[in-house]
Amino acid sequence: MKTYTPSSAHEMGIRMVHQELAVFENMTVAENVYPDFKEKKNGFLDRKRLNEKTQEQLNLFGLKTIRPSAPMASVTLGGQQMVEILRCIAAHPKVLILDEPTSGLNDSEAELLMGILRRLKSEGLTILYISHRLNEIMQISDRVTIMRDGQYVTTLDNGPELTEADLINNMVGRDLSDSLYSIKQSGHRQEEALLEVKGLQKKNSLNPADLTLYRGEVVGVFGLEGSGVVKLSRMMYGLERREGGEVLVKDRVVKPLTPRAMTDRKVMYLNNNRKMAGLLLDMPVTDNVSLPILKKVSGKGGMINFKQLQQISTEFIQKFSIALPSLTTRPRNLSGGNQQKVMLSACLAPEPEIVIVNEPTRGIDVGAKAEIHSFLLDLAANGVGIIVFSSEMPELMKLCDRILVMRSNSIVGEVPSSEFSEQTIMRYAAVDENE
Amino acid sequence: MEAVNRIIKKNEFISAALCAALVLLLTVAGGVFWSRGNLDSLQANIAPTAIMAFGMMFLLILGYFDLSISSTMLLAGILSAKFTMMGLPIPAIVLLVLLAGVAMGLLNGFLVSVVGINALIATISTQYMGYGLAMTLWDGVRGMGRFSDSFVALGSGKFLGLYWMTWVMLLLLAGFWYFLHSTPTGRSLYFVGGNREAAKLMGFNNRRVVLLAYTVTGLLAALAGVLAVARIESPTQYLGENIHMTCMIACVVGGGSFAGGKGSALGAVLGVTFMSLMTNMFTLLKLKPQFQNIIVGLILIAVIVLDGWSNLKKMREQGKI
Repeated sequence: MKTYTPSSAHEMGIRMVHQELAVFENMTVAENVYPDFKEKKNGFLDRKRLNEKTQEQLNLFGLKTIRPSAPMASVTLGGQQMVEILRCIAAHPKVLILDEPTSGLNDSEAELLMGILRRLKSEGLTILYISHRLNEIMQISDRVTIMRDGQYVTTLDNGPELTEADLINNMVGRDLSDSLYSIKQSGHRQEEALLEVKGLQKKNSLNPADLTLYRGEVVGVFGLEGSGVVKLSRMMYGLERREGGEVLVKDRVVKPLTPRAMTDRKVMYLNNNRKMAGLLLDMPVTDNVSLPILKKVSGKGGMINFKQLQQISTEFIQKFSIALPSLTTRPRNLSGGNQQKVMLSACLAPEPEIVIVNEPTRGIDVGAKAEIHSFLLDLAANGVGIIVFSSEMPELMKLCDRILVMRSNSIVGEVPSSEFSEQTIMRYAAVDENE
Repeated sequence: MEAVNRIIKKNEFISAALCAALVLLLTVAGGVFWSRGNLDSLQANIAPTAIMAFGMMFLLILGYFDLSISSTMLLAGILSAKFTMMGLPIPAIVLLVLLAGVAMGLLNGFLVSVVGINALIATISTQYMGYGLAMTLWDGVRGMGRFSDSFVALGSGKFLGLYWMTWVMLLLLAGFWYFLHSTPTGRSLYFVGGNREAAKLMGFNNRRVVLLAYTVTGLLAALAGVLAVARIESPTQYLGENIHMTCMIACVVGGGSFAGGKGSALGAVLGVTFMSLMTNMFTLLKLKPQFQNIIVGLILIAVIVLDGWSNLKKMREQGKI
């Protein structure tokens, strides 16, 4: 094989259901199932036959609510996911790869899918099933391969003696003797509520969520991909539309809930992607830091006080020991760790009382990581309330007084620091207790 | 009721309804709307524009567009004169002019799909280049006067009361309807325009489809240029002025979308018919022509807002956003 591309994989009989939906909303359901349908009748595309073939497929899998001629745009997300899976199956592949196929499905749809896969398996199809959901893995697989942080860990036979705990142990299993990851001894007393989230929700993306953050407290939120963590984080800062619920800062409802209203109430937000939304990569560091405090450093007549601005930037640079050739250096030329520190400086420059940080140390070196951690802990000690959204459990256990765990768009558990362990947290995040 | 609902939901419904309303209005207003002279001028207006709009519609379905068709049309007109002065026979003239259109289209397609330049920048550049080239040639043909009678016949010859160019338009309408409806390549326009990434994953050749659509668009613009200049009977430097905008507006009114994935050949014709009827109405009812642009602009906004709003509502109902 010379080059391996999607079309060469197609030719070899490999079909993949992608995590991100690859559907055509502007076409009908039937055209989505058979995008390469060519049969003609009297010289015209035989739509009747196309719809019949699709109906057969739909019947085969008991999908009664979806009509072949319906526009794909009118089908629910779960239905679209099923249609995409049907498209792969209808091509009679030799190998079927499914990447988190149940992420968009509700429980009964997921159940249906499990049935379909079991039948295909019995018909001799080889299936590679990628999922975070342990109960699905336990149900459907013959063998389980576990990966962690981009590395192969092990492959286990799924026999009667295999338990979810075995999987979890292999999924976590990080060496915690590293001093970078000590577990926080929390002595925090929950006295003064700074931020309250009440019943924040949106259909299909977040079930009603409640959260209270107290002065000087660090609350962590953990969840595997697709568990609704990102939605919660964005929605509570007004970055995304919500369908219900409210956010209170110091007992007063934020209305309207917009990022602007949140910054006005001294709540700052650190984005998880410094390149896409966080830094002005080609503007000097001082400009990056000054962005949220332009008003503060402007005198009468709206002129910016550049002296004061430099002073503030310099303070942060020293506090964080950011390695900078000069204040006019552009973040693009800095290391990931230094970029992250610049971003955090901008976030903290307005002297917020509440900080929401997302993946504060993703992709940066160990030294910078430790510095940022100790800085966040200092902030909390000085009375700032911090919410940390992170996919790194050790980081959360080091920083937080308690950790909320999300699964399937809901907050499913709260773990106090006295009970911190990766197993406990992973159990909430990956195992459905109802199953 | 079911049938009525289905018709209303069709992409072409808005443009068809607008056309019907204008025809009704012009009929009620009396006067010369149904006179032979007026119908002839309407045809001569609609046919070349619609022929070009087919190409624009293909591109819109793919999620692209072409601003250079106006200069290609102009170039076609001037080249026709140039070749006439060189004494070439008419079939050779037409063939060469069409080839020039294909070359323009290929260049656009190459820039957009192979080099990967944004369609706006690429086709503005080629529009300027085409216009510059046309103006360079213009000096050599401005004194030519009238085309030969047999060339003029291309524009004003009739069959069963319709101009030849109207027949060409109708033939293309049928052909392109079949192309978009029943051929794999035609269908692939909708797949690629609907979801580029997914189409690639499914093994569609996105680049080739885009290149093809731009080439056909250039060819059609040149064809429209020949027919239109033959109807005018002598070369003019004003041929095709702003017609790229007319075509884009017509296609959007006719059910196309800049987001790609939708549109039809019939929609292109209905959209162009609407635009021509608007002009006709302002002339016949002696309305201030300045208001025409304002009204067309308002209708365009209304069409797009309505479309976007109904989409948004649908997506919210399903909880997709």
